[in-house]
Amino acid sequence: MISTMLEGIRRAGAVVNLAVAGVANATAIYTRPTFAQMVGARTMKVCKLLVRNNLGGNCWLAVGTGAGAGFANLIPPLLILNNIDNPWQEFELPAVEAAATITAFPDALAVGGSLDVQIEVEEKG
Amino acid sequence: MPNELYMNQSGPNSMNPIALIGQNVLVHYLKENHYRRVDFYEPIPPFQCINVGAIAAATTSARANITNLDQFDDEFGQFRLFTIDNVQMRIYVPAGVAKGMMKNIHVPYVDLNLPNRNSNLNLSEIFVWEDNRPAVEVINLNALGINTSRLIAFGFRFHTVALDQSTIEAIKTGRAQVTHVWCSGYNQ
Repeated sequence: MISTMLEGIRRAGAVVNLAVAGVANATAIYTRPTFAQMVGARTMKVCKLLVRNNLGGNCWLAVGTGAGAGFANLIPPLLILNNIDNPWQEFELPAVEAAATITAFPDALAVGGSLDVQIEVEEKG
Repeated sequence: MPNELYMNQSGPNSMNPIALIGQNVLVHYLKENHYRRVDFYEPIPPFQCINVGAIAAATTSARANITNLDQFDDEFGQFRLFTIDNVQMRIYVPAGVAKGMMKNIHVPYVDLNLPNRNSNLNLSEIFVWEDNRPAVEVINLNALGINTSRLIAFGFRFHTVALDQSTIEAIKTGRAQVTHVWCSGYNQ
């Protein structure tokens, strides 16, 4: 059985600090490779999320693609509790696949607070 | 050894070249027969040969030529195919001739179930003669639109030289080895 042929490669995005709330400030947390000389198109399946809430107060984190009016949720917004690590494992997340750079934003933040976000994806292509 | 070479060979996790260097092949392309000898071959690792792209829900794409499987003159390619998106793909070799066309159905050569049901993919094997490129129609069977519809190919490319008439006669009379290579679908 070689159904592993269908699997992609596991990759983690950089730790991204989100210090500004609102959909207009949706920020890339995993950038889709689009190098002109690469062969084929890549997609990314969301596998893990680790979110550290730096005194930003309880808030919702939206994860999707695009920003502003073009933002589209990949999964329902996640409730991020204040001042702790908020991890989500693969078995908790729907196997959604993004064909564009994955972005995220908090709906609100306490003054001076922020979120550190890191995503792990299965990159297919 | 020559008798062990044939199209769509199976075996655990294996894909063998259909012919080795120095062996004769008879390339069938539509109504044409090309008697050739393999003088070089090399493997082609899995690569994304086409991404037909976004397709609306419950829609079949237009037929798309797979230009990335074109071969040089005097060459043929041996490729096994699979997809990594939830679609069904009808294959044409060349672009106007269906593969897997039976009396009542045009069987999709490729879908996501394929690697589970035919683990070495020998049944999705096609051959391409020179630049008589194959084509694909992608069926988006989902109730949602899809962003990508990608086909992966891997296999071998073979360079060949023409055989002299005496060798061809020897093949026709059964005195010389030949491996048949069908580089097209088959129309009644």
